[in-house]
Parts: sequence; C-alpha cells; structure tokens
Amino acid sequence: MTNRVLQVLYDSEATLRLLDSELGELGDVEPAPRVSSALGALPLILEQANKEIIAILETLRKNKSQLQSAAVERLQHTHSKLEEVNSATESAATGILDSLDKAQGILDALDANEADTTGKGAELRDAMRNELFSITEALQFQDITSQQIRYAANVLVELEEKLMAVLQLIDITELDEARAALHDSNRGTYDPNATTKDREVRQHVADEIFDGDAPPA
Amino acid sequence: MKFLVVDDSATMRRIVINSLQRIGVSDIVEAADGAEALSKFGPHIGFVITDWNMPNMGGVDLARALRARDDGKQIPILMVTARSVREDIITAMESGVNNYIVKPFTPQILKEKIDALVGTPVAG
Repeated sequence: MTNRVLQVLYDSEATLRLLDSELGELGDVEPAPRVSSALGALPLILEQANKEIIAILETLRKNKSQLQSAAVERLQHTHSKLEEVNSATESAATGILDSLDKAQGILDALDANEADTTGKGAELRDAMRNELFSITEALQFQDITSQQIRYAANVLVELEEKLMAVLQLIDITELDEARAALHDSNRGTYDPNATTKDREVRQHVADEIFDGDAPPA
Repeated sequence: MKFLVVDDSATMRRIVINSLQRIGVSDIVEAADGAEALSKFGPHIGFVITDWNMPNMGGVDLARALRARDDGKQIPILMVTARSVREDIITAMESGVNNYIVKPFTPQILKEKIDALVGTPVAG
C-alpha cells in the first residue's frame, strides 16, 4: 500500500512540475498570482501529506502484530479451549452413562438372585433404578450446553473473520496460514437459543401448536 | 415396532434409547444424522424420533425427505430438540413432523407423545 501511495504522490508532483514548467514557457501569459502561488505550494503540501500517510501506515503496521496476535492466536486458542470443554463433557457423559448401564446391570442381577420380588429389597432396588435413571435424564445438560458452547465458539470465529478483514487492509501477507486454520475449524451444528431453563413453558408452546390449542402466530 | 432414533450427539442417542427401553421399547435402530437415517429407513421402521440440528442433514430436511417417499408418508415422526422458538416449532410441523418434544425431556413425556402418535400405549 505504501508503494502505491508513493507512486501516486510522485506522479502528481511530476504532473504539477510539468504544468508549472509549461506555464512558465507561456511567457507573456502570466498566471494569476494566487493560482501560481497555490500551485507552487502543492508539491510541499503533497510531500507533507505523504509523510503523514507513511506515519499512519507505520503505526498501523506496528499495531498489526497486536491485532494479528488477538485474531489468530488468542481467538483461536479460546476457540480450541471451548472445543476441548465440549469434548471433555461428552467424554465424561459417556463415562457416566457406561457406569449407569453397569449399575442397572447389577440391579438386574440382584433382582434375578433375590427370591423376594415384592418385599423391601425389591422396593429399594426399584428406588435405586429410578435414581439411576434420573442421572441419565440429567445428562441431557451435556447436549444443550455443548450447543451453547458451539454458539459461543461460532461468535469467536465471526469476530476472527472481521479482525482478519481489518488486517488484510493493512497487509495481505502472512495471513494465509491463519485463514486456513480458521476455515478448518469445525463449527458444528447448534441452536443459539438452546437452554436448560423453563422446559415446561417451552414444551407448552410446542403442545399448543401441535395440539391445536392455539393457532400458530 | 422398530424405532429409528436420529441424533448427532451420541450422549443424546443413548439417553433417548435408555428412555425408550425404560418404557418397554427395545427394537431400536440409530443414526447420527438425517442422511444416515434415510439410508437406514425402510418399511421395517415404524416410528422416527429425530433431533433438529445435525450435520449433513437436519431433522426438518429429514422429515421433508421422508414425506416425499411413498414408504415415509404415514410414518410417525417425533422431533426431540432444544429448539423452542415458536417459528421453529411451526417450521417443524410444516415439514411433516407429527409432534414435538423440547429438550431436556422426561421419559413420561416421551411415552405420552409416542402413545398419542401410535394410537395405543407402547409397552411399559
């Protein structure tokens, strides 16, 4: 970008000098003093503008590394951390489900070995079975929170894309690798409104629509 | 009756399958997305339970694809999803979904919806 600006300034200055020279050769045709003065000052003004632009570009170049650090390193690091959380909770949920299956199997084995299928022992085993199943139900949190995390991760990717667009304005080099990493990131599918809250209220809305209690609005 | 359970989350598939087993359903096939579900679908399937958000093919597109098939026009489709915005629920209904459960769900509501769709109580 700096070279382009310099080239434009150089061309403009050369044009002005040529114009100045042509006006001088006209001899008896004197340009108006104000115009002549302004034209004469233009190269200096342009040179000053050139210096200012170069200074701005230098500042942007210096800040580019900070922007790049934020866009490429910190955002991608945070994104990968979120993916890690998703992976860890899914792995933990799978482990818990495995253990619950084993516990259910133990209860089934106890049922099979106990002669008493209606007494206190059977009652306690049923209660234990219900408790174990409640844990299974509660594990639905993993699916819902993973969608919330994917949503947050997707917001980070969008932010990263915008920062990269800014960086591209300053310098288009050194970003290919980062851009490739960005597009390689797995966004997954998610519902941005996924929540574990107010299940009954949300189910009621669905029931209204499907049962025809209220017309779709 | 064979159930087809479609969800990209392995955890959710297990929870839905455990819930079905708890209400007496044991003949179950599972798929990780709509595309896999279509490849496993056939006259042997009597009931479809599907999530909405899935890679490759989501639940709404799956419902539309099933309704476009001769052997899928009458199949009961129950959507189990975290999506609960009114417009989404209407979209699901218009795609051919017969009923809708909002996550997190309980086995009781799963049984109620299945019973209502098949017309008779499932086992359990």
